[in-house]
Formats: sequence, structure tokens, C-alpha cells
Amino acid sequence: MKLRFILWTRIYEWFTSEREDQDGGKSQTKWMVLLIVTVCIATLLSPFASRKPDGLQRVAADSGFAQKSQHLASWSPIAHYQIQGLHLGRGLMVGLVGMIGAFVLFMALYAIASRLELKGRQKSGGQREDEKRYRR
Amino acid sequence: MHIPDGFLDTKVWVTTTAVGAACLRLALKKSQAVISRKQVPKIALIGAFIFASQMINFPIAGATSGHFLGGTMASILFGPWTGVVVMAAVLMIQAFFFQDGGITVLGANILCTGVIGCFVGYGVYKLGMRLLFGKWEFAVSFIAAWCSIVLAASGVSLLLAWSGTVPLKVALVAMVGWHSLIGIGEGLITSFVVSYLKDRKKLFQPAPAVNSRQEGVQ
Repeated sequence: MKLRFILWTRIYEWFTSEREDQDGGKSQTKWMVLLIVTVCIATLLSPFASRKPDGLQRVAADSGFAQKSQHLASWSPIAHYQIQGLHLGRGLMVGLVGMIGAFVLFMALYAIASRLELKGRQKSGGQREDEKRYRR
Repeated sequence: MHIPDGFLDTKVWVTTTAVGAACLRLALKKSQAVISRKQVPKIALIGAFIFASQMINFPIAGATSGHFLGGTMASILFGPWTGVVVMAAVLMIQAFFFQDGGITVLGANILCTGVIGCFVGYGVYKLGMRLLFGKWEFAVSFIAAWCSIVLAASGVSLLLAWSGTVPLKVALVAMVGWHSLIGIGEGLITSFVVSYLKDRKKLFQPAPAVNSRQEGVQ
């Protein structure tokens, strides 16, 4: 009982900790919440998205140029938010693909942003404010 | 508002691809100076959030739906150049992995939803914050996001008309009409996320104009 109490306290402390947040403020917690919200949107909410035509598709249908839309080729195994050769219910499929997409985007942008940050630091000769703060 | 292949003719997609590539190159260069180490995971997370949110089509009037775009939100949080990089990454992964939005029109999509979306939204937001002395941030970001969607839709209409797909007046009226409704959803999501993530304290002390790194989320 006591152990469980300590465990939950630790989790709560970690979750609400501000030790890495040198600007003061509760932003770390807020970004954790955003992470959870993103995962929920990608997996749980995406199957409930409306399947009606969006603004541009609607205009294309109304103005009679929707048939101009074409697909050059189908090369992707996850084209149109469907995993080829996997038979799942639509809800599960959309949730799974949403999760894959969000993960791919996170990894891609993490790589791009850290590369850009590194380049920026090299250009300014490592004299940037956050660099000094980081070393402290 | 993802343009599919075939809506734009050759001269338009070649031009927009060239201009879009040039803008992306500039954005990659300009964002180097503003991205800090602490922002890196946050930028990645905002990108994932934008992707997930773009999957959620919400129904609007008349059997039509709309979805969040996110350019204004990313620009308010990280500045417009980083916003363009995030939007380009989202659009490219949608086009190459999910075949949502065409390949030849990728440049046009980056120009409309990325460049116009980010810079219009950011410009309106900055102007509003300056005019209102940093007050009413919720309303200002709502209006900024709404304007960015309507102008992005106008950009798409111009490209469609230039391709000879549809007369300009028809395209403009229909696109702006639908997207002024979709813009309400965009504005609400943008305002909620921005007011939640931005540091309250910073709003009341105007950031020094010299150092752009002070703005937005650190």
C-alpha cells in the first residue's frame, strides 16, 4: 500500500516536474498533455472523422471539374490511409494508419529540426544563449 | 484543401513547383537562426499534432466537411519560417506516404497552405497583438487563423483559374464561401492550442524586437 503510494507520487512528480524548464512555467507538463492529445486524436478520434467531401472537393464537384483529379501511380503501401493487403475494420485501420503517420512525422521533423538547430549553432560559432544555458 | 494531381495545368504546376522549392529552401535557411535546442522536440510534436488533426474532417453545412491546417498555429508558436518547414514536412509525408494531395502540385500546396497560411496568419497575429498591446490573444489568434484559411483558399482559386480549370469568379466565390466556414474551426483549434501552450508571463511584457528568438515558445 505504501509502496504503491510512493510509486504514484513519483509518477506525479515526474509528470509535473519543472526541473528542465529553465524559463519557469509549466510548459513541460503542457507538452506532455499535447503528446497524449496527439496520440488520442491519431488513434481514437480519426475513425470518427467526417467522410464528406472537403471544401475544395465540394467546389470541384459543384463546378464540374472533379473528374480532372487523377492519380499518377499507386506506389505507397499505405496510400489513401489504407494498409495494402491488411484486412481490418475501417475504424481500426484508420486509427492504426493515423498512429503510423503521426509517428513518421514526429521522427522526420525531429531529424530536420535538430539538423537545422545544429547548423544554426555552427554558423553562430556556438555562442548562442541556449547553448550556454544548456552547459550550465 | 489538398489540391490533387490534374487540377493544375503544366505551366502552373511547373511554376508553383519552382517557386515552392525556392520558398522551402529559404525557409530551411532562415529557420536555422531561430530554432533552439529546446524547441526541437516541440516542433516535432506540433508536426505530429498537425498531421493527426488534419485527418479529422469536421462536418460543416451542406454535406461538406473541413479540416484543420495548422500553419498559423505553428507560426505563432515557432515563427513563420519554422512554420513553413513544418507544413512542408506534413504535406510531403501526406503526398508521398498517403497519396493525399498530388505530387506535381506539391509546390502549389506548399505555397497555399504552407507559405500563405503561415505568413498571413503570423502577420495578422503580430499586427493584432501590437494594436491591442498584447491583450485579447485568444480573439487575435482566432482572426489570424481565419484569415490564413480564407487567403489560402483564395490562393488555390487563383491557381485553378490560371490553369483554366474554372473561371476565377466562380472559384473565388465558392472557395472563399466554404473556407470562411472551415476557418471558424481552424480559428478555434488555433486559439485553444496557442493560449494553452504559450507562457502567460511573456504576454504582459513585450519581447525585445531585436531578438526574434525571444518570441513564441522557447
